Amino acid sequence: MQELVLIQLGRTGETDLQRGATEAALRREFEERLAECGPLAFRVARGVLRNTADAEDVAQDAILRAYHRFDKLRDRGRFKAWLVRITFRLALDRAKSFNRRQHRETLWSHSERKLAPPTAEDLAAANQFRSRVDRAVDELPEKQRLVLLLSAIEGHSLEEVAALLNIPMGTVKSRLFFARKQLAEKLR
Amino acid sequence: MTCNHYKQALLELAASGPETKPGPKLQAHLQACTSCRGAFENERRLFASLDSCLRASANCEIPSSFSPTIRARIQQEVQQEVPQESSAMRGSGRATDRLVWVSALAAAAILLLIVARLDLRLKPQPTEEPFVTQPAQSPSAPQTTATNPLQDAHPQIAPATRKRFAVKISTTLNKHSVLTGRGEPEILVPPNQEILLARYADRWRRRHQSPSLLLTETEPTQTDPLQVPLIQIAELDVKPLGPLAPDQESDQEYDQK
Repeated sequence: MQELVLIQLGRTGETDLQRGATEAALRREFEERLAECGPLAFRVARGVLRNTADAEDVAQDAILRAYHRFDKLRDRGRFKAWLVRITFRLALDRAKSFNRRQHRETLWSHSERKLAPPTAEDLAAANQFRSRVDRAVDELPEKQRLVLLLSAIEGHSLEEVAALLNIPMGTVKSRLFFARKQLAEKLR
Repeated sequence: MTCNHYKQALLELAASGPETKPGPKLQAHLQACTSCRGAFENERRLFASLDSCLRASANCEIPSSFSPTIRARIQQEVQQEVPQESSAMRGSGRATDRLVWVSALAAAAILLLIVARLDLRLKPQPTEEPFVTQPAQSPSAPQTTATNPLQDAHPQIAPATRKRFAVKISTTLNKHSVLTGRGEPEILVPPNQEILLARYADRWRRRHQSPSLLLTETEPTQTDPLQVPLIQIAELDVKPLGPLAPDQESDQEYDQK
């Protein structure tokens, strides 16, 4: 009886050790991948939100979410695409909620609508063309928008974008083509 | 082919990106037609500026605080997870102990409740015993049996209600009553007052019965007027006073002194 108890305790300790080691290995792997994919997550969020602070916040949220579910990811090679999707979705949600809030504030404000005075950042960063491009990009369908964004980030090739989104090359080409065409039509 | 036909193709070529080369027919037309070439160049410039704008926007500098903040947040999450796990391990034992205690207390309370209810049921109902023990009948005392006036006044009340009544009485008459082992009030009456109490009880009972008597339906019957016989008083017989008794004489002497 005494021996059995001792053996059981040993097994429990061993299991704890194994679990701890697995967790440590997972954490190490995640951090390695994070160094590679963290900037991409931030840029995707920045491309959607066009605000550094918000983009940082969203990217951090997305990375933490990925961290919590990292052990459930079957194919670790798909981490980059997975993180990009999470970030893109979170950024879109944030942008939508921001737009809703802005719309509400506009409705509740005085009937005489006034344009918000441009901030120092706006004056420094934006020109007319850029703001038009941003507006046109916002109106694109989500799928086209993501392809356009990823192809613009870090000079990703179409093959890389296709691999990242796990979609055929032809689909990437067509989405990019229609996205650019729509943008040109709006900017012309 | 007209320029309009090529125009659409040129726009699509420009939208396809700078890497895409025009076909031989389109290339020939571009070389021949200056307006189409100009339009194509314009489109290319537009797309070039669009691409540069998108790239500039997409490839902005990453804040230096981004990576350290992320690592710090992950570290924080890890540290939060560890105490949670250990506290969950410790807490599970405590929770089990607490559960055992709570269930034991609940069981004890239920048992007490059951016992109390059983005790209440097993207690004998208040019997129709006389309220006061009947004293020895004196010839002048009326023939009344002093029963509990409350019991007689409410014959329709259920035993349980009567029981509650009895308890109330026992609390109000606490000073003058002694609770017997069965919980029946027994009033201690000073000597020679049993009859008075019995009379009071009888009167009380009759007073409380009268409304019920009034309420009872009676057959409407013709009653004859009451006929009372004439009172006949015999002649008064006046007698002179006799000599005083010896003890009466001594009283008179005492008064004179």
